[in-house]
Amino acid sequence: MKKLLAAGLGLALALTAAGCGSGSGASSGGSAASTKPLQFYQSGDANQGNGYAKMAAKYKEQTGITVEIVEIPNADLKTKIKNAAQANDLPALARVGGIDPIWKDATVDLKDIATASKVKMDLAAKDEKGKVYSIPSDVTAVGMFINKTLFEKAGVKYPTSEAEIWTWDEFVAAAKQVQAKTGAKYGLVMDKSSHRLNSFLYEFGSTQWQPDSSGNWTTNAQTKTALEYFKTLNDDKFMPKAVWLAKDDPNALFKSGQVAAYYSGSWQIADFAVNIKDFQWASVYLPKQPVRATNFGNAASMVVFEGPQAQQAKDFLSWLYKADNYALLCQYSGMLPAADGITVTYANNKEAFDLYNAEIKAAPPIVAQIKGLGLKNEVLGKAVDGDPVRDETVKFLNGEVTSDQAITNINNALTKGLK
Amino acid sequence: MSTTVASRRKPTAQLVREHLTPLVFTITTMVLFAIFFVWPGSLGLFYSFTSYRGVGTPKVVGLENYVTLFGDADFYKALLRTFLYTVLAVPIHYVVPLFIAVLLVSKHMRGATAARVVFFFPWLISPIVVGIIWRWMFGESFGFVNYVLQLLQLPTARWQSDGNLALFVMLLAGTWGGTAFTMLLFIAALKNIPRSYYEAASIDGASEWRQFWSITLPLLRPTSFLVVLLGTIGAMKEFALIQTLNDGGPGTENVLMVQYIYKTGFEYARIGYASAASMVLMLILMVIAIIQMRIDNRGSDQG
Repeated sequence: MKKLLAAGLGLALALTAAGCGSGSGASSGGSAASTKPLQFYQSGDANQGNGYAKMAAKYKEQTGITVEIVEIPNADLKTKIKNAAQANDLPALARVGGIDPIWKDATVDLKDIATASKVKMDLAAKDEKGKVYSIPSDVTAVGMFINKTLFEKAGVKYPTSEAEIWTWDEFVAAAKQVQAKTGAKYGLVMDKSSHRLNSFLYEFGSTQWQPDSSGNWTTNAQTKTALEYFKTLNDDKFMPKAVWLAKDDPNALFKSGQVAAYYSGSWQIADFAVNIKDFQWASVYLPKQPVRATNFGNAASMVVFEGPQAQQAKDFLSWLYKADNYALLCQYSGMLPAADGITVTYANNKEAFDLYNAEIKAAPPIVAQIKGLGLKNEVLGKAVDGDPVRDETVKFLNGEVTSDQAITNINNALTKGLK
Repeated sequence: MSTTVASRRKPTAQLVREHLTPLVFTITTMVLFAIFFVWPGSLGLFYSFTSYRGVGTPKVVGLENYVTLFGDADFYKALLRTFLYTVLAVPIHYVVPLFIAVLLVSKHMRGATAARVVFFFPWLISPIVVGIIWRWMFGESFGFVNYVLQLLQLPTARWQSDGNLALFVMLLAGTWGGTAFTMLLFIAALKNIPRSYYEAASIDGASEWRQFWSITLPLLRPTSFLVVLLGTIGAMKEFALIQTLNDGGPGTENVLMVQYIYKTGFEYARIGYASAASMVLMLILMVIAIIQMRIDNRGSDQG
């Protein structure tokens, strides 16, 4: 009996040792790991995801290596990767919204890929020693879509050249006219996101949030004006309250054809091109009040995590950023390239993409400054937990706090996290 | 084997039977209890005294988390809303299943088996899915309920962006999802009540209503206690349903305790602080359970 037990124990130990052995052997990038697919966490709608899936299929064809794309809803991605880092279960690579201090040091330097592929370095997260933590996956910009069919039916005009760009007051009046004449349910929907809200704030002349001379984060008076304006729009008649206050999906609302305009961004183009069939839509210039601005930046960032598959993941990424492959990805996913010298042959909606490029060009310098500030703080490991700008705005819209309180709370949260 | 050997060994065998056997059976439970309750519980208690953020070594900060917690307006808001939800949910979660159970065991009932299957069905669905189903039904812009209201030319309601209506939908969804289990408890208890009591009562001329009040309800007492206790604890800990139903919305109006803990712990990575809130919630639940048990014991003594 004892002998049997000893034999069993020995076998178990041997198996465990073998398990460890294959694990550590793989960390050198040996062939042992090649059988395991590379896990790639990302989030996007069907069209964006399909771009990566198509590229992964191509990569498999060329190299025999499987890249398993794990689609995670955008709202959960940050938490999911955070939890994965805490559980020591990070994927091989991920397309993330930003660098998280929790897993910052578990990333691999991507400098060589960034240099080789002429990636826009302003949008890469790097530290003073030159380590590149992440490279931008693609560029996105906030923009407005209108339901062209509704506008035409109502006989309401919209700007088609830079000279005709409307103010927010003009836009709201126009959209209300569309509502009145067509019976459209809402005039405008906006994603529940601080990224979109910030663009809205810029358009009212807000300088967003920045540290003052003593390092405390604060904003200017226009922010309050913009927030108050935003609240008047969220009256359940012009904008549905349930988008910002609950979980209604603005994308689905716009697609229903019952909404005159949708304040979102360039990433929707690919989706709309395929999924909107019942009406015509168009990308239009963002309203200014009086500042013409779009919040642009990296849609997301690519990171490679340390681990047995790091080298393989880097190989995949450097393949993906080769000019031809990257152009193809941008074409498949309807993305604006984040590297120089890339010519994308957009199959459709060329005019929409051109409009976004013009908007990015016309954006005031503050947009890039704030973006740079954000990336700098990310690398320094200074991060704000959660999204105070969005969360406080939601509370303000719901009447839980005043605009002054909301701004003070945002100031405090940002100062606490970033000072 | 000779009889002498057998008689000599008997005390040992008896010893084994009386002491070792129960130990072997309970050891599984003890190990499971230690791994899945004592260990994470102690870890949570330890974290509640630290500023742990999920990575690195936890830094002990003493009672700081608790001091902050008791001054945190959001915590009190979540706690108050949780109490409100519980106070509303427990009676509904008691009355509705009891009503259905009484109907199902009634002698006038036809098709009881089929009805039981129908009523039991929601219990098979994960609370997350229950939340999603009800979110669709009560969606503000596209929901089924608002659609029907529109068809009937009635004004539509703000099921999600009005705090109290959102709470109402939470109660509705919670009742729908939780009725089945309680209903089964009541059915079992109702069937255990001897029919002779009712027969005697009806010979004495008691109405069915009178029989319900004077026979059924008093004899359901142990089950009722269980249902109220489980219901209270369940309502205080409601999470998955709300997370998918409205995310504690509108705004943060319907954020209940567990969701508050989840948000601070996982969205804001304040594991230490969230652990302190968890400990307070556990303490509240224990106090509630003890009070309810006291009431029950006193009631039984009198009865």
